[in-house]
Amino acid sequence: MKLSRCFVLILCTSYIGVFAQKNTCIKLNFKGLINNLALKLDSNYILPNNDTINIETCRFYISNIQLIHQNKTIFFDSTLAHLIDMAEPNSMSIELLVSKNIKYNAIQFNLGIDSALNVSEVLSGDLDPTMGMYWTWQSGYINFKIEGKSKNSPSRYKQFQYHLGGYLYPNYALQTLRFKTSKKPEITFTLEVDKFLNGLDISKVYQIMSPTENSVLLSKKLAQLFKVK
Amino acid sequence: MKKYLFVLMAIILVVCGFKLQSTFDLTIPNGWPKPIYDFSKNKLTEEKILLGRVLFYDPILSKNNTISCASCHSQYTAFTHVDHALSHGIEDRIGNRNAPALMNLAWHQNFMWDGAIHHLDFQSLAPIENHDEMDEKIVHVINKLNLIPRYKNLFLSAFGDSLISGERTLKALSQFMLTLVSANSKYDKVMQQKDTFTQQEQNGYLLFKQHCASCHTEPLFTNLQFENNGLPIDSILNDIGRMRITQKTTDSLKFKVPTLRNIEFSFPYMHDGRFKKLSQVLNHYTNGMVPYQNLSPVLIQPITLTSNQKVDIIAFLLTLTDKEFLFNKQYSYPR
Repeated sequence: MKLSRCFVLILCTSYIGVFAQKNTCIKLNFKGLINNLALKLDSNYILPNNDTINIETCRFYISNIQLIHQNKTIFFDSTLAHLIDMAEPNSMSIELLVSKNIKYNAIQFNLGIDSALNVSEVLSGDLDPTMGMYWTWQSGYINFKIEGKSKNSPSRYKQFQYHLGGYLYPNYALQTLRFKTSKKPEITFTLEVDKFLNGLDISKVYQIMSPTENSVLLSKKLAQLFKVK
Repeated sequence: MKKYLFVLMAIILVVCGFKLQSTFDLTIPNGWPKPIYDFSKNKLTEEKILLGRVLFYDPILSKNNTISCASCHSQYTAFTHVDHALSHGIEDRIGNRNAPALMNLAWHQNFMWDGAIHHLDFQSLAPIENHDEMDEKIVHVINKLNLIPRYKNLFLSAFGDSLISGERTLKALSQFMLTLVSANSKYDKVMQQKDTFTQQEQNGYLLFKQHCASCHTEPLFTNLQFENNGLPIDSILNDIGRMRITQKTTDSLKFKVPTLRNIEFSFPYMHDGRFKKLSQVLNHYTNGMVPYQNLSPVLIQPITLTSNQKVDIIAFLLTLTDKEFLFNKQYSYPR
């Protein structure tokens, strides 16, 4: 029994050896930008509209990553979703294991969780409801969460909270992003957080916590603020 | 390379160390539709059901460890909060709805009076995190469970390792709730020709089929839909029902049709518990309905019942009491 197990182990190890040689990693980095500098949480920034802000939380889901060559998907990420959390440097990179001589000219992914995953059973890992990215009073994932303080917020403690999501039409907040790139082995995506907040009237809309029309509008705006570097 | 070896070793360890679970077969009562819950994604086992049952009765799910699921869903009253129009949570905070009775949940697509929850696995999150109910955070619940050796053991025997996660906790709670099947009332026995209705119950059954069954459809005694049943709006609660979720004005004042099984014990009635007695409910349908524009189409035609007919309908409704369900030891506090 023990011998046969050993044999299986050797067999599997050699298989992985061969497998590893033929593959390489493409690393996707996500980076928050504010006033053209790397975003630091819990720091004060002055926006062009003269608001003083401080971001405490910035987290979002990236899902359905695909590498595309001549309009055909040639690689599909098997991980259901990745939670990018600006407070967790390790979460801000995603590694894709791809074939060594892969050629692609575009990359596509979703910002958020699609409706199929939204209606499935409770899931583990980054999709576990303990990750704080699930609405509890009404079913559905929060695609994007940004929280902090703003001088202009009329709320108690000057807070703003935007929890964006929604998986049912017409308030379907998921955004599909596609970028032309053929970079290897690293691609960096930036998100200009200052442009997002600068364009909002925080004195009026300082919290969104349900899948509404506003949630969809802001999600569309966010999608335009991702850039490939 | 190292990473793969580690994964491989882990797989081998799991395969070798995997303890067989005792599978649990949920009996689907004869003539019932196919359950909506996808059991293939959360296969029932005795161990997981037990874990879910322990969690259901444990006040650790609430912020100050004072109330459990069973506080508002007590078995002897068909898993609802008897005697309270609006259920109360920790520190006697009063919510805005009447806790629904829990049974036959595998056949439900949406949960809550307004259908806010779309899958049983996510249902428990709502009361755990609601300010007026348990006012806790699921992530704190997991942290608290991790400190208790009993739970380490329960998770170990349920899942093969002692990892305590939100997913596992919620799935175990689903498992216990899925076992709450009520299908052994006198009504069921009559349908199986093991018992007979009295004349009065039989009269009531015929009247029920004529006036009530289009929404309270057999065998679940609910069509699982959302309907506006013409209740005058409570100006203090201003509860718009399903519209809160869909934001469609056509869903204004619509609430989920509740099951009538075990209705004898699940008083008070309606989403806000405004009626204490079944006679009041029947009087509402004959004399009290507000003719809203989106009133359930089957209620537009006025319902006329004599007082004797009402008594007959109530006699029939009492045949929906399932004592085997209400006193089933498998559902009670796990000693």
